[in-house]
Amino acid sequence: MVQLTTVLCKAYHGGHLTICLALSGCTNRPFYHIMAAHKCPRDGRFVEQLGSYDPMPNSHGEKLVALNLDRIQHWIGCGAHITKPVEELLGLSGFFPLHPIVITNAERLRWKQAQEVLLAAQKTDTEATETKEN
Amino acid sequence: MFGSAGWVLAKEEAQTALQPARGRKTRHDPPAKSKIGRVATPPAVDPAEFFVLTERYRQYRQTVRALRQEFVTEVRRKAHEARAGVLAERKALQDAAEHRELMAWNQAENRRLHELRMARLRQEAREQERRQAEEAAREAREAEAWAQLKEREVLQLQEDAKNFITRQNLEARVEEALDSPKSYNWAITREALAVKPQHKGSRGPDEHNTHPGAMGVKGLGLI
Repeated sequence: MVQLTTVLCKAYHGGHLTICLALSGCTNRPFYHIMAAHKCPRDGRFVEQLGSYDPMPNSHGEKLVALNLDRIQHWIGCGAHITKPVEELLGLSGFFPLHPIVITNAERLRWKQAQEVLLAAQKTDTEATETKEN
Repeated sequence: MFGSAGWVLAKEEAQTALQPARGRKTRHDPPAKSKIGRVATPPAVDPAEFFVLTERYRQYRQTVRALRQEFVTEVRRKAHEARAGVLAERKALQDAAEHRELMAWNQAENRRLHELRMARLRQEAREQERRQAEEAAREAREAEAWAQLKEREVLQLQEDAKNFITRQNLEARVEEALDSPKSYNWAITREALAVKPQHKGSRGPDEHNTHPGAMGVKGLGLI
């Protein structure tokens, strides 16, 4: 089987700035800051904080995301890379178009759920026919 | 709205939770014996889904590239406006005007302080001259007093010199001294009593003294 992920590599080269997620928080409680940073460790030196992302849902079942769109636009204009999770978050917020991976995963999930429903329906049909025959 | 992204990221976390030993071995540890004949097979790729996915990626990247170009032009426009825009020119004019104002104020302040300084210096010069004049007057007075003192001394000496004994006057003065009734033949005790050598027949007021030859200094007519 051929590894095809190289085809889906990043298509924009050059630049030394990245908009990425920096993990912080406690054990079993992650919390991400959306940072603009150079080639530094994940939790190390950064240029500017552009937002935050809380992956744990709150009491209303929401996952809160904060995005400083003005500064994000500025840094992208200065030639910053964006990592996949940040791209997904921007796509979901509406600032960017929706990421293909998000759409594909949603489709796969729906297909799987449809398959499960179909299997359940088929099972009930076979059971109904069996009982009918009996 | 954030459900699907959360599901994507939650799926990654769930995978890590189901395999707690993942990452236990470093890259230098040898693989286990049970994994000798193992061939890692990546998940199968659905060609239709892959085609759709590449098409979606192409469109996505096209859109994102366009957005990026827009943002770049925006940033450059802002930089250009900040450097050479209307607002920047106005600000530069305002800054220049403010600078000129401040320089004028500074020069006025300098002139004022200069005037004050010159007045102070003139005052000090006048004070200095007055003090010097006073000093000179005092010194002149002192010199004059000194000269007068010396003159008086000289005159006094000149007058005294008339009574000096010279070679010519010597014999006359000797004769005069010998002929004078004044006698220097006396001594003085610790109690300031003059003591004269005893003569036969003591004088009247001396009888009360302890020593028959002692007499007060006043009695001699010397004081």
